[in-house]
Amino acid sequence: MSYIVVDHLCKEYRIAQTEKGFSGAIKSLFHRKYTVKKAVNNISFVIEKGESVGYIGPNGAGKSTTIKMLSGILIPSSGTITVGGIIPYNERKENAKHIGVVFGQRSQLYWDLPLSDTLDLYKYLYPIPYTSFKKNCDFYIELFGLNEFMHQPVRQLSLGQKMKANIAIALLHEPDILYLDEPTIGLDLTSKKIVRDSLKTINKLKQTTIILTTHDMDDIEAVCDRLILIDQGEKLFDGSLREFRTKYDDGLIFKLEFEKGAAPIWQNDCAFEIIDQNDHQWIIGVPPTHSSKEAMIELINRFDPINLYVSEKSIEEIVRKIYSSVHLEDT
Amino acid sequence: MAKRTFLLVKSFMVIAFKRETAYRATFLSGIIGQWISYGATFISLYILATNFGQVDGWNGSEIMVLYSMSLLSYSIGGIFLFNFSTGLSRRIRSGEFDDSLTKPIPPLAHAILSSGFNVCYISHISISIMVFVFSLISLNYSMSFVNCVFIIFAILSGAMIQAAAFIASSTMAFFTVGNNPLIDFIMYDVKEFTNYPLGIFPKGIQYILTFILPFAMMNFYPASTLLNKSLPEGFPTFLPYLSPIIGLIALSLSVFLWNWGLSHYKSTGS
Repeated sequence: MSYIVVDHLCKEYRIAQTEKGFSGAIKSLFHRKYTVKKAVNNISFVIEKGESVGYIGPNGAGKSTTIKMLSGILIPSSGTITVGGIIPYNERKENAKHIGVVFGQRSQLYWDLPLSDTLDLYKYLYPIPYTSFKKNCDFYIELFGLNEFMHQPVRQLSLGQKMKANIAIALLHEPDILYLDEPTIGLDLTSKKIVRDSLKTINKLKQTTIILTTHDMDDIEAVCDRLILIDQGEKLFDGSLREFRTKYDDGLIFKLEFEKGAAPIWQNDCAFEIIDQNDHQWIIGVPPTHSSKEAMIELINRFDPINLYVSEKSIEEIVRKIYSSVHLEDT
Repeated sequence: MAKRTFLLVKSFMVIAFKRETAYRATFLSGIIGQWISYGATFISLYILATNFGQVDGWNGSEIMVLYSMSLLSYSIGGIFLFNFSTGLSRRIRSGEFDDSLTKPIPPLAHAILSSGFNVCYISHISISIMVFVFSLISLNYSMSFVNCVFIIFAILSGAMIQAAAFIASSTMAFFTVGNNPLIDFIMYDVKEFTNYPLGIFPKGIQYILTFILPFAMMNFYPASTLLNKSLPEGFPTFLPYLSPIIGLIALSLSVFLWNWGLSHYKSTGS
């Protein structure tokens, strides 16, 4: 049996509807209509021990709701979840011993106090031997470089420092699973890199199963072996990043630079698609049917640019394309 | 296990104390403010009671005993539960409450411990103990060992009843948003009745305060026994000795109610 089994999971919210205007407000006091919003709609997946899975989707896709059900906070409307053989929302205490939870939008630290005080508290909160606790503390203090700000009140710390501290305290009791809801939200590039690298290290070194939600593909690229894409509560893709790329490979992006004001005229007989152009620069999409070598030779021969840059299509663009194609099928 | 629980509660308390005292001016002005506010209530009640001569056979100092017992029980409950009870609604809306559901201790315990303690109640406790002691002295009360034990039990039972009121009232946060005037009425206005001897009220109110919202169990019944007062007609004389049991029952019921509320909990969207 797999470690985490999610089977036909649904979560519905009942939303009270208020009709327009004053009379509508009065009416809704006595008789209320509800609409049912399906935040998570019939999602199934399994996750093995030691995997690192990125749960990706736009805002309101149902990512946080899923994480909250997995971690035992919310009770599903229907469907089942088992994590390590137990049902998280039925056995919250037992489940809590095996998981660490980090919500990017919210801190677990005491605002007015230094980090060291929160660490003391966690020592007694989880039933692990004090010696292991001490060892873990030292390990994560080192890994995240927490020592520089250990004794400052948390309110003086930067967002990045707080996030590092939050992840560290979620790991002190050696959880089997670490859930992270938007762990890199609002962080600068350096902090993002530290967070991503550390998560990768933890996953490899401690075999901690990592499940993170994000809408930043770079998080997934840096940390996860696998991604699950959801939108409007439904699963659109589940597989490795490589599979994702192969399946939705959309070719390459070429950027051609010319002398200012001296860009030639684009010729429509070309096999490529021009995405954006101005008087000294073209952005060109090259479909996967052409190799980059062919494309380069043709573009250089025909248009003679000064510089030519090649990049992969950003994965966000691919995601956007999948969203729109799936929703086109719907309509 | 017991040792770990003790250490956990201790470190939560240390954190709560550090948080309260992190801003020294706020802390001190809070304590002094409460002193003035409750001092004024005591004085006005005392003036009222002495001017009326007697209220249902209770003189000014005896009414002070009544009120100080109520305030002392309330403050002991409040030190641990005021922040939790009044803050639960906000914590649910901000999503902070979710943390209590992902910890290896019961959610109610975590929610209470992590809400911090209201150290300002030190002022209520000190002022009510002072008034209680001075009132007994002015009544030339002869204290015995048995009476001491009785008082301690009475105060602790009262604190349990108050704690039950704090926990039960916070349950509303699972269903409604923001403060509920009905809760404020039960928590604060109904309790005002217990500043006076129960005998002055109509029978209906006497029954409510004894059996339904047993606030009279916190102070009126124990004080009646302590000061040798007769109970209102129709109430058995063993009632004062029931307060510990009533306290335990009320507290258990409130915990039960709270957990029932929790099962209806819907976390916030994000």
